Amino acid sequence: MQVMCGQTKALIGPNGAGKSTLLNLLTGVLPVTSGDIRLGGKSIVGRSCYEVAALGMARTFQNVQLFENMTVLENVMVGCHCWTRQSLFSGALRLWGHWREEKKIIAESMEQLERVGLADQSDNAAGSLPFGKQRMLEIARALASRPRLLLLDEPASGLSTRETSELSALLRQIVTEGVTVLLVDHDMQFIMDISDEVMVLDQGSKIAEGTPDQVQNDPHVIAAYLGMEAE
Amino acid sequence: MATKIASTSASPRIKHKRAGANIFSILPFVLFLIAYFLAPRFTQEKTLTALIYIGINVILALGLNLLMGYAGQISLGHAAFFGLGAYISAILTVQPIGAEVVPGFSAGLGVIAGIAVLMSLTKVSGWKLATGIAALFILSWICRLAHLGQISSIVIFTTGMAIFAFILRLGWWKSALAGIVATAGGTVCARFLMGVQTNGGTSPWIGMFVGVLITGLIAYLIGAQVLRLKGHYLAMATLGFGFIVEIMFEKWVAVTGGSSDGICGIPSIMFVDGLPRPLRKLFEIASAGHLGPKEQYYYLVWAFAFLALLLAANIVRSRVGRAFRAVHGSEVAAESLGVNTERYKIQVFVLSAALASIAGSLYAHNFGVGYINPNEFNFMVSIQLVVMVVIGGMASVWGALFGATAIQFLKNWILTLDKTNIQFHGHDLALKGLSPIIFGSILVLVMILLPQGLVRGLTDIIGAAIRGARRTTKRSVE
Repeated sequence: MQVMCGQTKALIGPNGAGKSTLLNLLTGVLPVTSGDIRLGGKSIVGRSCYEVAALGMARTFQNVQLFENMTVLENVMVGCHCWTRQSLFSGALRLWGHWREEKKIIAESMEQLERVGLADQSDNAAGSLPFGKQRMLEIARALASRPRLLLLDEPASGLSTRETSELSALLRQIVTEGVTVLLVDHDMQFIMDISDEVMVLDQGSKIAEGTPDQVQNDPHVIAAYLGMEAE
Repeated sequence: MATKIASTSASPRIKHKRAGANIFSILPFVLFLIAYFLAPRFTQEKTLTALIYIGINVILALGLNLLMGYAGQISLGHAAFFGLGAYISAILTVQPIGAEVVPGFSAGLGVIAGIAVLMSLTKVSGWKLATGIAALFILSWICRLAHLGQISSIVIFTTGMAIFAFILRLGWWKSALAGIVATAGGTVCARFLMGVQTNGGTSPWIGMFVGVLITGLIAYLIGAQVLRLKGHYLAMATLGFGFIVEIMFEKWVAVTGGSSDGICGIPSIMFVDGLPRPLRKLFEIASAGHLGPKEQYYYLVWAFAFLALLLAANIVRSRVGRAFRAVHGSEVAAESLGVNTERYKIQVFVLSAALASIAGSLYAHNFGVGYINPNEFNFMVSIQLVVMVVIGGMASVWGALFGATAIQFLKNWILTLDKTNIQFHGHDLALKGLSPIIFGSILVLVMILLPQGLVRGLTDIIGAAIRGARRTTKRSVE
């Protein structure tokens, strides 16, 4: 499987097809037993999760994983972790580097929050946001890490129709800025709407890949989704 | 689209508001400083004693709050770090270790330093680490048996560790470095201890510094292994560590004096006398001439407490502090954003242990006591620390201040309760030794009724009451 730079690729498949497992393998949550994963030509097999993140891969989670004990802004500020360097001492003693970096972090975080429309709620507790906003916040947080590749695990699940269309607008904008997006979802309309290419997984193996139209008419895909009698 | 316009218009205001420290974030510190300077003028000696203990507890509670409240890692063995600081400081100032113990003791410490280097550089764990530790100990044993000089023992250690690294396929220069640190650390330690012994004790400041170094080293070794555990398992592991250290204080009589003798005659620190003249003048004026050793010690303890408060408040609002809180919020999410959770967990554990060690040194050098024994660092103390953090409020820097104060008053009250015989229907109730039950029930009650701690919990309740009252008045007006 290959994701081209600047592309939006969707990963679909029936329940238990291995989509989330694949995402976990990519981000280094699960160990890779065989095969190779490369990000920009560099193998990332055997690296731990935080190292992969530092190489430019950010993700969101199927069940939203916000830092509920922190404010909305602080959540996004954690996202800036991997491109900032200040140590415990410079933070404790408020050295000059701390202030300089903090300014950059806040500017970047506010920018990301504005983009997802949460800037006016930056001081609220992250846990108090409605569900749809929490998903948006998670995306803003992932974007704050300046990723090359953004993995979205079911970003549209649980969103209303209006929120979904806002999400597609946001994703389109992200792609124009040069971020590659790989997403997993069940909302076919949403996927066919925004993705350049779709890959279908079933029981751990790839059964089809191509443009949304090609995939929709692929007999294997129809079989996997509707059962054998359709073949 | 409407939301977008609203947000862009609102954002400059928010940015402006967050640009720097405002008056309300500085005000508590200013009030604190004024109270700090003027307290001895208005308090009696008994209150001053209580204030000293509160100050020490504030440092302890702050350290534990960083670990528990912010980073979400529990420790039920924090009294061990407190005790290590106290004992190291006390031993170095009054009771230099006997000359016959010095070589073995320093070789052991050197090996511990070597283990720390091996662990931090090669990231080994499990049986490989165990083999590495064994290799270091065996090499050190060989060097002692053969009575080797420094140079030849460095050579033996380096080659030995390099061979070990080759067999286990670890980085060879990293392991060799661990060997060098083990010998060099042992030599430095032996030199230092012999010097201390000939002088009959070192200055308390050096004792405090060495205490922090060694406690930090031990916290690193323990933390790196134990912090992989979560929840109850972590609690059990730290509990076990606490017991091990407590037993060491009790049974290692040659060094610690055991539980019956303890260590006596620990010198105090004359803090103000050591300051430059203008500063000394300031303290003299503030205390209105009553600048006895007790007042000086009070100033010292609270200077440390203030510094710890300030640094902790800074840390939690910095990059690393946010990483600590992120670990608490969701470890997977933190990892996915590039936060090395393991590293930050160890960092906060070591920081917390270092603060506990400073508190321990301050406790040991307390004016007018000059005595420590193992009972002061037992399991109950660890529990009291947890209660302090919970009562003060998790994840709240100023809560530590409140929690430490509350526990100190409670402790005094329980002591008086222990001494008085309360009669009930003509029978003696014998309330002696009830303090564990009282502490336990307070912890349970606070957890159930005010899970955010007394300060936040009570302000929330009062706030809700005020809002409720307003609503009813509004309704009646309508």
